[in-house]
Amino acid sequence: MEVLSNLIYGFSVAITPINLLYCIVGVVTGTIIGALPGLGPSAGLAVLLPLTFGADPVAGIIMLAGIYYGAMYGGSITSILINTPGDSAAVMTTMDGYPLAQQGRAGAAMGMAAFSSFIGGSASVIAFMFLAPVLAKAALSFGPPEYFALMVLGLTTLAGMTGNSPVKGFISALLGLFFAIVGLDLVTGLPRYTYGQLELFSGIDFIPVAMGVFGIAEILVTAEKKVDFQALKSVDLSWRKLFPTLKDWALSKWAIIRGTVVGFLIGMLPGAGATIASFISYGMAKKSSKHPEKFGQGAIEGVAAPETANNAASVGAFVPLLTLGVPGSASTAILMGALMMFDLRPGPLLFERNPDFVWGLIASMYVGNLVLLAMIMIFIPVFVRILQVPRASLNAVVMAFILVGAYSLNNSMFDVYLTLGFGVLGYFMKKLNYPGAPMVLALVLGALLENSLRQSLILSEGSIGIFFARPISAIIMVIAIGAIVFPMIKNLVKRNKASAA
Amino acid sequence: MQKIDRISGTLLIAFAGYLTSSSIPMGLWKDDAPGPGFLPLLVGILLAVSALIMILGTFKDKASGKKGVLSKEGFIILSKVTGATIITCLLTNILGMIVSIGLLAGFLLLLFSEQRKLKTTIGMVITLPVVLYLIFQVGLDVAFPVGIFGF
Repeated sequence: MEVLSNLIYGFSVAITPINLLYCIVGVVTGTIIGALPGLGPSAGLAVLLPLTFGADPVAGIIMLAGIYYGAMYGGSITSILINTPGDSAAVMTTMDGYPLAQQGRAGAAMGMAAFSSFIGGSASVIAFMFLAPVLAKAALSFGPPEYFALMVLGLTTLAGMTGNSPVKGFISALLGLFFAIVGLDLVTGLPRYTYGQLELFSGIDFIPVAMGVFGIAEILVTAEKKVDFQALKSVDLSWRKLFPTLKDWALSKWAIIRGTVVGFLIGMLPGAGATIASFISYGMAKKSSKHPEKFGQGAIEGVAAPETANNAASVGAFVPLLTLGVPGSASTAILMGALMMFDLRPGPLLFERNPDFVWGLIASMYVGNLVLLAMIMIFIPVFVRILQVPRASLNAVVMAFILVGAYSLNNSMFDVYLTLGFGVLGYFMKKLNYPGAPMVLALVLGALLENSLRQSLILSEGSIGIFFARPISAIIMVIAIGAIVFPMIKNLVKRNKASAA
Repeated sequence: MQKIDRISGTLLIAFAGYLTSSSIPMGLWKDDAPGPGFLPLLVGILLAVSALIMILGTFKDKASGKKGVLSKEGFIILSKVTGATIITCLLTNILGMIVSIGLLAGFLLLLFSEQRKLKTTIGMVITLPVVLYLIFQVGLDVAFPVGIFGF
């Protein structure tokens, strides 16, 4: 009952005209950015974050959440139409989406992607609504060792799971921690790695880093690739064709239900996220299908399964972010940075101190998913037309937006240079297969991690045993260590097998 | 990739060495608590270990050594974009931010396009600054550096 009254209160916050406008702008821009190959939700959030400067915190976060799940859906547009996923979470959608488009069923595939995203997203919001307050209450008993353990878990799982090489993921996370160290030490006031630059005394903000690593680096890398958008011109996306048939629904219903559950649960895990959720959901749909041989040839449930899961995962990812204050992915790390920019401290107390924000956000997730569905059904031909705008023009516009956005952060050219610098670093990281996500997550968590580490060691008088002496932190630390060791052992076994062959 | 991984790994070890050595003068332990140098030391050590594991891994992994990842074309794009952005930043004080960014966008359009269309480029140079001005200066109240044109 309390949840229901909170939700009604949330709706009163979310459906104010200004918040609704921010939500629509977020969903539309997110869908467009997400559809551009290479620019996924993280890049979308980083590039468009400056648009929320000066906005009311609730409106700002509602817009960013809209960008997040808009981008999550947008990735499927190019997956289906030109066999080029907008981001990694849409990779599995190409498997059956593109064959469907080749069979003249692009509309049905796009429609199924939209409806399954809506169902996955909305059902996950219901689960989130009941689970998050309970978890937040439980998290009130957490002390510095538990928080330190949680942050280590978030970093190690993300580092171990992104990219092809876990060790490169860890290196990326460690570089992020280094960037978090730059600035005045919070306890002693000693400048660390500032090299006399006054601008660095307050530390490196996550926004130039995210805009550089996810925005500029992606533009530079994709400028080398040729993506053919010609196929988009011949696609028939009339309104009627966007509705999947009854047979499509019958084939996809279990894939959607499974995708929602799997997506939400995996989305909550730090590091795993939407990409892994879509892979698992697709695999499960194929295994349980009566006609697994049709997967990869244009099975409609092959579109429904990954699309449901990746949108459900994007909602699931809000659970650890809002209840524990520990983001599990690059996108949620950017959202956490944005929350802190708005003076909102994610964590269990957020539910008590800022109920208008929390319940407004939850209600906006319902509204946002509905807006997303409506926008897609009405404006999909417009989105497809936007993609026909030459990629060069879009890259130039995004680059200009990034630089102006970087300047607007502190009205300083230093941030523009910093963004460019991180763009170059991100370019080399991409080229050398170092994932950027762990670096951004570590940068966002760095100060909190150092703080909890210090507090824990003060409590224990210098003994690291404190992380293993308390049951919750001990369990989390063991899992975190497992997240480091397991991928390395797996890689070693794989290498040994390859060299034996 | 093996060669590049070894080079990047060696650079990372050198950087880790710098982090470790620079962390000690900051103070590792002060007043019964970790000092400002504690985390840099920890990061330095872990970075060195990780980079070493990566380098050692390249000697075992023989499969992925053939593909070149850094292309000449990529370097040219990178240097042109970086150079143009730096010039834009320097021009900001003379031409103003909005005009400079418009010129940069025009240059990038010419750089990224396969078919160079002058009309599109001029359109971009004129319309993009107007859009950016409306969003950031009018909508978000951001004060951009003003140039000789007065905006």
